[in-house]
Amino acid sequence: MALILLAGALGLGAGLGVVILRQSVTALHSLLFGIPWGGHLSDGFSLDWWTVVLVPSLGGLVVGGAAWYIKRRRPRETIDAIEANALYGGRMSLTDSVNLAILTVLSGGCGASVGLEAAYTQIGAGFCSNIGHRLRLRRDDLRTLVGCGAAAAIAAAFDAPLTGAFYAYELIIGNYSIANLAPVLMAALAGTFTARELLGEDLAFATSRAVHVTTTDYLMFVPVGLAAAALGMAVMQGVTATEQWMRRQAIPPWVRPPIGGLVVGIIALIYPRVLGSGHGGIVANLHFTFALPYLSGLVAAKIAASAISIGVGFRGGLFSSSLFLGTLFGGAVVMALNSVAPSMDPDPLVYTLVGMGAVGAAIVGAPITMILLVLESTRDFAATVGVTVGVIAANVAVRRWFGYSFATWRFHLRGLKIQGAEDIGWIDSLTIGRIMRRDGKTVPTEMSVAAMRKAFPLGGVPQLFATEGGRLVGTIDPADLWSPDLGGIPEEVSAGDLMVPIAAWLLATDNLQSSLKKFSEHKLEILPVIDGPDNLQLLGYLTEAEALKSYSQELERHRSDMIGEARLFSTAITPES
Amino acid sequence: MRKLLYALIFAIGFAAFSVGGLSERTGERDPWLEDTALVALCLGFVLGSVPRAWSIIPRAILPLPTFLLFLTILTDRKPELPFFVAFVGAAFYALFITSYASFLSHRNRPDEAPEVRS
Repeated sequence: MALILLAGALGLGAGLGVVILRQSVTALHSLLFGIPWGGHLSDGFSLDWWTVVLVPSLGGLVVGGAAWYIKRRRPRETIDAIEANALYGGRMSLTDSVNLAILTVLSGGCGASVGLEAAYTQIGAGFCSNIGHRLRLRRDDLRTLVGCGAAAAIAAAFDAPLTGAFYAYELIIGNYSIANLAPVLMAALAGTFTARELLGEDLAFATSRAVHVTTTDYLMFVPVGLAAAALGMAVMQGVTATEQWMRRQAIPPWVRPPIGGLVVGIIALIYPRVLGSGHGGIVANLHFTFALPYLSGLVAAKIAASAISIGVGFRGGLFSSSLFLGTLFGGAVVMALNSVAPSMDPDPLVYTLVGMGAVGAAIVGAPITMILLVLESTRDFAATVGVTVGVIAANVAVRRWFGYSFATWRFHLRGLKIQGAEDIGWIDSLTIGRIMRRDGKTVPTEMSVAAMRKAFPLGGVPQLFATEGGRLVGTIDPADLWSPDLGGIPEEVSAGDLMVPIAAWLLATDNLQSSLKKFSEHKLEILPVIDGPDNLQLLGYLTEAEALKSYSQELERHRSDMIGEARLFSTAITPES
Repeated sequence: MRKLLYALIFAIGFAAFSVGGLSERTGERDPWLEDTALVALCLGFVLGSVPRAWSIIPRAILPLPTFLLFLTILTDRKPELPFFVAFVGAAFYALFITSYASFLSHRNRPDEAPEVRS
């Protein structure tokens, strides 16, 4: 109950954060481009050429300088909500999150083709993580709270609480369960109401009429979804290729954003709607139709502008860019169908929505979120069912042919083995130091077998560790002390004669997974735990059986916590308890 | 084959970009000249992206049709651009597209595999 109330309270804060960021960008657009308050850069306003070219470039200079300064003061990579939940038990830095949000506002404010949702979720999740950490919440509760922050942020951004909640389930927490239903929904509702209270009710992509969908249309949504998947994969590959291209140029990182800004500005000379996140463009595409050549060109231009913006170091994401691309793609499909099969008479609105959902699902990797976004924005069930068909086709195709969303693709490129927000970091936190036995028995190498027999009766210890000058040099199987093939009289045979030189060891800081690998590689049942390869001081030992038991207990504990039922599978005591 | 497909996708992207830009012009059109420049751009880009040493030849030719095509696109627009802006913009596109073809050509060479950040 306390977690639910806390989630609600923090949801208010996350919603407030979104309002501040959103208004900041609107103010920058108004100041720098002369856009009327409440308008969007991608609405297609007629802008002076020098504004279009110079503002993104000079803004890029500010972003590059600010990023360079932040990097000097805090050189580590900013951990986002997915990474935090997958690897760090929900721990995020609030300072890093605020820095990233500022850079994203500057990027979006100067017209870079990036979405602001990354900043919204970062600030919401970072804020909740920080408070949760101060309250010393359990690992799983902290992860849930990070999801609550992201849910509140997305809900506030799109005035869509269910969209926000499922964004958290699909992307940030990695699963939906009864245990995390109430806190996440509470936070999403709180975020939505905060934004509504401060900005008024503002359905992100409200439509003015109901859609007309036929059975043929539903069948058509499958190839549309598949084509949307191909477009999504091209966008993700394009961003990567552009980043690689920029990295190959001998250009200092802080100079890249102004150059990229200039390039985006030159693209905007032909297609001014590529500037900004694309919200205005989405709304325009939902209400008006455009010619096929223009739509196709704008798709290519938006992909290029987004790839260049992200590739050169502007901060932001592809959430709203992917939605904008999707609406353009859907509109282009309608125009193409009208030319090829005019008898079909496709409804432009529903195809635009299907394109939006399908491309969004392909790139963002959150199919239910996209379906709910359409449902909550349009409140049209027929459109939502159509979008569901396209989204499923796109999602299956991307999973089958590519295997990543944009976020996990970038993790993959960084060498992180994260396929989603599922908690895999716990395995790193379960170190050998926490589970090893500390009662390892050492014997000096000169100690005789007779003395050892006296000190360690048969069956008394599982393993003996031979030391020389305090340093571990080998292991002795206690059964060998009683072996009939001892090869001498017990008083004359020493531990040094019996020992097997040490072949492998564990460090107290190693994790359980690496220890299981070592057991398997060396085919040993017991491994000594030492303080370091230089000192070779014995700290304890670990048996393979203990390691496997600890692993299964921890796994069970996580599954139980995920379901919300403590000790569901057994009453085993974990090392933590 | 896959590498060629990659270049082909980019070429289609550039073609779509150019066609969309041409469709937004307010002045008179010369379809024959524009289409020829468009085909030359796409062909030059695809061949210039091939990971072979000879691909430098299409890349050497590529800037000319690209420049002419984008000069056409950037003039006769609303709001109108000063000619020097259109000229510089067209030169930029020529440089950009040619250097991207060069990047793809070198990126796809086995001895110049892209580095993956770890």
